[in-house]
Amino acid sequence: MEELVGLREGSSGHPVTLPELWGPCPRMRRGIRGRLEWLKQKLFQVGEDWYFLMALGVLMALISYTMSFIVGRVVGAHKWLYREIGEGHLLRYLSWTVYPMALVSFSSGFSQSITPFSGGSGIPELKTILSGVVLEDYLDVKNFGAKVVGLTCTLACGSTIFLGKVGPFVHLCVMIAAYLGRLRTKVIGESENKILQNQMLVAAAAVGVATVFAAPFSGVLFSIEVMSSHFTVWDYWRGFFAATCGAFMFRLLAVFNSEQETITSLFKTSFPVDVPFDLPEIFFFVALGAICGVMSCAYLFCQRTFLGFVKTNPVTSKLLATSKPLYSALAALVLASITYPPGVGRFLASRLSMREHLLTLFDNNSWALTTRNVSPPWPSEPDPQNLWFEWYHPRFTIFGTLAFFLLMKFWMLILATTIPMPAGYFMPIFIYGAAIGRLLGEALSVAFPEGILAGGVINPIMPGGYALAGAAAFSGAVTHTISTALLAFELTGQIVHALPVLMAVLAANAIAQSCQPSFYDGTIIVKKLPYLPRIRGRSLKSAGVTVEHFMNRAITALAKDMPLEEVAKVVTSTNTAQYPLVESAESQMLVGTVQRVQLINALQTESPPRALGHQRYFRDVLTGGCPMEPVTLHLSPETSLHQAHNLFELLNLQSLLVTSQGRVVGFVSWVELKKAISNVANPPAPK
Amino acid sequence: MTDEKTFRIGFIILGFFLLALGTFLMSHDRPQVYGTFYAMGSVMLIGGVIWSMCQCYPKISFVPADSDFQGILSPKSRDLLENGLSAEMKSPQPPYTRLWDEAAYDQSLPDFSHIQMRVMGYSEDPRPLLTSEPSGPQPGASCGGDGSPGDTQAWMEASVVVHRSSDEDEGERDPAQSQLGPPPCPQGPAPLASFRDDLDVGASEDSSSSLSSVQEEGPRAPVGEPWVCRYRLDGFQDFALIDATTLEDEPLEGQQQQKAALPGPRQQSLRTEEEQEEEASNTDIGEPEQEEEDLYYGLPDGPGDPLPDKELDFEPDTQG
Repeated sequence: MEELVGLREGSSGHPVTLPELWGPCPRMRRGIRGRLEWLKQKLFQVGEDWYFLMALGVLMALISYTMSFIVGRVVGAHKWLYREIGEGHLLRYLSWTVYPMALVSFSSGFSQSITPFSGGSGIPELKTILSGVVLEDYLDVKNFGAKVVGLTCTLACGSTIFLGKVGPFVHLCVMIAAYLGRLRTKVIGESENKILQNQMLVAAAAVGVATVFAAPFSGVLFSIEVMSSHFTVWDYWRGFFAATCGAFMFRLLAVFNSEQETITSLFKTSFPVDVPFDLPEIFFFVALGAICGVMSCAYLFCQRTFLGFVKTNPVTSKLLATSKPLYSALAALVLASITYPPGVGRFLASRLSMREHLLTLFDNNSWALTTRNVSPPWPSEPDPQNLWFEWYHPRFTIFGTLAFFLLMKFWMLILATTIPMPAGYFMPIFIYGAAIGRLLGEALSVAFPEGILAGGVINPIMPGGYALAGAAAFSGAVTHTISTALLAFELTGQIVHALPVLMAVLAANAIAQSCQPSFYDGTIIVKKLPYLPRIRGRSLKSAGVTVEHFMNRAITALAKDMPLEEVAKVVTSTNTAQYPLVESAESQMLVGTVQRVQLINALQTESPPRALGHQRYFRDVLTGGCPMEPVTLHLSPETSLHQAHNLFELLNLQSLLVTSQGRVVGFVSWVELKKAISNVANPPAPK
Repeated sequence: MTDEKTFRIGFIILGFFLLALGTFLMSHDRPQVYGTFYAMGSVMLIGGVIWSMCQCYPKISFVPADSDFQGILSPKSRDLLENGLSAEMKSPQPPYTRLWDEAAYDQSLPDFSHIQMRVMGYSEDPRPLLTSEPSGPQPGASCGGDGSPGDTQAWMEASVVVHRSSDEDEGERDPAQSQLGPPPCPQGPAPLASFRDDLDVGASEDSSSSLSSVQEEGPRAPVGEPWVCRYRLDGFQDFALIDATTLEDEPLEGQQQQKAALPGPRQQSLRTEEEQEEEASNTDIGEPEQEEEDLYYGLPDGPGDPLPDKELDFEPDTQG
């Protein structure tokens, strides 16, 4: 871009732009700038990243806290309205349903009107971005406001819509990190470094999850598991640093707001520490893990199928295309009608918020045993001391309520995931898993009322521990992660159930990973985002596959001794972004690559004296103005599939040339790798 | 430079946010809490406001008077474009015209000027594609006496139809040619330069009413070069067209879907209508699909993303 520069009188001759020259108070500005430079030099001796990471953590904690605060106020207002509206059924039904309908349609309409990227969980797209693919404008900071408002509205609906916060919040975090990265580039004054940018994004993903869970350890590990295929230890440090700053700030704000007296865990439980469980119970924990694995496969399958159905069904797809808020409002109407407390909602414990769901499910009493003789009342308002009364119904008992909850929430959650608004999908499946665990725990406590006898000491069964294991196992199976086990402990502050929970999570993962892609991978598949799958199961048949078997040999190379007309013909008849450059047409020795845009530019600005009969060759154009890039990395036909796959994942590559003894013989890109991997997994029938 | 502007605005918004948070956290038995937030918030707010105010001064309106000056300017711009950012321009700085643009027309400047930057800077690092950095209006000599309205949209279309213009408008250049002086044709802005003729041809049909345009006397590119460049571009006229047609399928789905979020597609479709009008009056060589194609001409799918388009069937508005 053009710039007009001038010289300051009496200066050393270093040109300065005109705006700077003619700005007000030049001496004061110079002084301030000098002092800022000194400050920058002093501060950034440790390395400038740490400040930006700290700023990222603190900022995200502030935003998360503010969102929770606003959501709490709005929910309080709705409860007040519901209480004050009296006994009339119609009015109460209207106040119960219109509130989520209005919020959901506003959330969906507002966020979609600003950008369509704001809908859904952002994690699949972030996973794609962190693997090296460029999704334009996905990290643009103008999506920030849309997503914050949309997410706040979604959360304000509470357990009626039954959605969480993780996905969009991680997206927000990565957006802010990209923005801070640009700020850092400007402050440091270096040119943009893509590797540093990527590091910042990876750390931001970790911070996002950690801030949502208010759990730094499991947050960072969860983000590593979900979003990266390779993770360097250096990024691990940065992620932890930022996550710790964020978690600390978050808890500090809670203390400042007098909600808590000091920094404690979010869900306080009181499992007995001495003997939390008996040894034979481990068998039941593992069985719980297996059940959660099977149910997670069912959930994933149904969710993907339903998503595809909604997209292909003419009615819903037309509705989604033309008027997203209307679709969202209809879905919210269905969900709210079912959770209406005097109606069906009585059996779903629908008056509890998401947080209260978890609190009650982790309760350390055994409800079945407590309610065997005594039938607690159903208060007009949930009793804060005994919230678990919501789960009890005189005729169906807690078993009926829990089973009904599981049945209904299965399809209601799947319906809620199709609503096009910013929402996270982790918390609902965590709660769902807790309900599964609780059901099994209660059944066991009825079956063994005195506890499982082990060595003469009687220890009653604790359904709360089963709920914890179920939550971790189900959510781990759905997302294909193991760090949910750690999350369960960080949330409750009790690590006594460490081993059985971990075993349950492993069992659930073993079943789920062999049957279904994870929730986020499934979304990538449905949305057809570009992503490199991993090679599942290092079976023997994948060991013998080499690059030679799957490389793409249809490569058009430009030779240095090609006449220009031929070069032009090649360029106009193919549309690849990059051409390999070989020494000559016979030798085919690879010397570099040429970018398409630069090639076109150079060819266009070539003077055409070819009309004079003088034959020009490509090498003249190259020396003239078309830069050639050297090839730093290339494959050989004997490279194995695993090695090529590792290279692509480690270095975030998109395509590589294959050379054999210096001659270029083909290229490998994600398309070929994907085909090779799928052939290994499902070998095609021999013809 | 837009980045700095967003930083300033972000700073101010952060100040407001901290003030709001301090208000929510207010509790009288612990005034130090909200006191800290108030202090930080007001410091950031005041600092951001002062910083922004300093940027808006002075308001320069610069009109270089003669073609000699343009001749002096254009090699510099050529160097800038060819060699990328030189050492003294290492940190991107706003073109001077941005000052008065910014002050008067900030909110109404269209969002898609970053596309302009892509087309203009072939030898530049394509990374600017990723950030929406409007390059601002291209500074340069005002042609004077051109009569075209010269709003940004007009020259955006014009700069995009660069390569076609060279082909089909050759025959019609004679009246324009006589006006042009003979400074040397720069390498970089050659595509830029040729659009001046499109302003003649296209501006008359420019239905600026269809676009939310701001009628401003935008700066023009140097006028001296086009005829020389056109002559050079003669040799490869078919080249641009054929390239455009082969690019039809490929970026069309990928780019249009990926850029669905931008206000681009709507204005682009409006612009394609304009170009079609323009085309109709010129000797039409390509098919109508070319119109849309030329908008994407020369634009890579994304520098880090040379996947074939089957993979780029990205649906941004689906739910999952």
